[in-house]
Amino acid sequence: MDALLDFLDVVIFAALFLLGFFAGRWNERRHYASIRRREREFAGVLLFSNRFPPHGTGRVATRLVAGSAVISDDYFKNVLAGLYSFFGGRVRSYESLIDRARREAVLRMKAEARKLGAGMIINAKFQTFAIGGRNQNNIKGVEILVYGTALGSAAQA
Amino acid sequence: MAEYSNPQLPEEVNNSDARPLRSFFAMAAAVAALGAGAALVFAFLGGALARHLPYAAEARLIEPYAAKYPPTGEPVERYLQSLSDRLTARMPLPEGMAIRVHYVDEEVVNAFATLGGHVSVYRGLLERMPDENSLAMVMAHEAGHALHRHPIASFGRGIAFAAALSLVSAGAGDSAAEAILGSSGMLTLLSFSRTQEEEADDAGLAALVAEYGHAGGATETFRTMAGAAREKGRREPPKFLSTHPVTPERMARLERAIAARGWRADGARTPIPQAVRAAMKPKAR
Repeated sequence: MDALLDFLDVVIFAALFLLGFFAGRWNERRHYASIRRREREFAGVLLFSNRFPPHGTGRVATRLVAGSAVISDDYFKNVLAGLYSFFGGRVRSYESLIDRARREAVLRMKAEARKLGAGMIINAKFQTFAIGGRNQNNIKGVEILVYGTALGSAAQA
Repeated sequence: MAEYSNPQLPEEVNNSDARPLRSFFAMAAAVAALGAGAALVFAFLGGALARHLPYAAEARLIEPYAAKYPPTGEPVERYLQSLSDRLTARMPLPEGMAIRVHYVDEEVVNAFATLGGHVSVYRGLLERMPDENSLAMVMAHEAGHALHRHPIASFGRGIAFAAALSLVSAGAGDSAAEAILGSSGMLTLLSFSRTQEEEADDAGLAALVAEYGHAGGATETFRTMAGAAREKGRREPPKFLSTHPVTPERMARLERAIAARGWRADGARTPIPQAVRAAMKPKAR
């Protein structure tokens, strides 16, 4: 018991580490399953970064649509990222955060576009924001905002 | 618009973290190896550099603790101090070093040297000494540790190691430092390496022979301790043995040293004064 108290900081670290690993993995797996399902569901809403609609689109209704997602890291990812920062290389533990945030934001934007009856989004732009900034003690997370112009069908013009 | 479509992007391009635990353990092992290497270098440097600390600085370091244990003036302690003074007069002690002996009225069979030239002898050990020569070997051995600055080297090594450990865990580092400093500040847990024990043996043996003219009692001391360990019905072996391992090699080494220097292996023994024997009877409590 005394030994446990002596190493209290190590014990707390181990607990957070395990919590981060298991909860983080579980959350991520669930989120990815949901992302893949909805990506198939919204595959019909096309997404382009071109500023102008494709040739022959004609007069259509346009609407600004946006989606944003904030994904937090977990303790395990944080520790792993700290280790990567020693040795350099891809910060693999944070790649999934950005990936999930980006895809989630696009899905939310597409969902909004579909609600408006649009089949295409053009001029899509991404912005990212690191929550917590460079402060070590702050919550770490990433926000990705995507916005674009939803084009309605020709009939809506 | 049928000619347009959005492709399904491959997953692993943006998210390659398929085996996070493996990455973690690979990198954590590398960091741990670096940390352990750093701790060893720290500990080595701490031990090696601490020896060169001026003796006066060491004495100042221990002074707050030593002040708690002033000379008691009891006959046993006076006797031990005078015996130690006679022996250390024949040892090349560093400038300004004085050995101060503390008598601890406890059953423990132990004696140890700590920072600042303080040597503690327990009643348990004293009772088991057959004569003054054997006791003198223990005292001269402990003074030999002080002479070679072993306590400060061990202390420096321990503190440096604790500092390195605290980089991993503040709590563990604290408790390691606590273990070295000791809750009572008596610094009883300083540990010495085999080489250090041998150095102290040599210094002790030389002083013993210089004082009594022969090496009687030199190996007997340790044999007495080992015998006490084998005694039937004892709950625990003497603590002295855990800090001063009695090995056949060590005995053989001492005997070789005696033979090589042409010293007389034995001679007339001096008894421990009867008055001291009487005074160290455990007080009725």
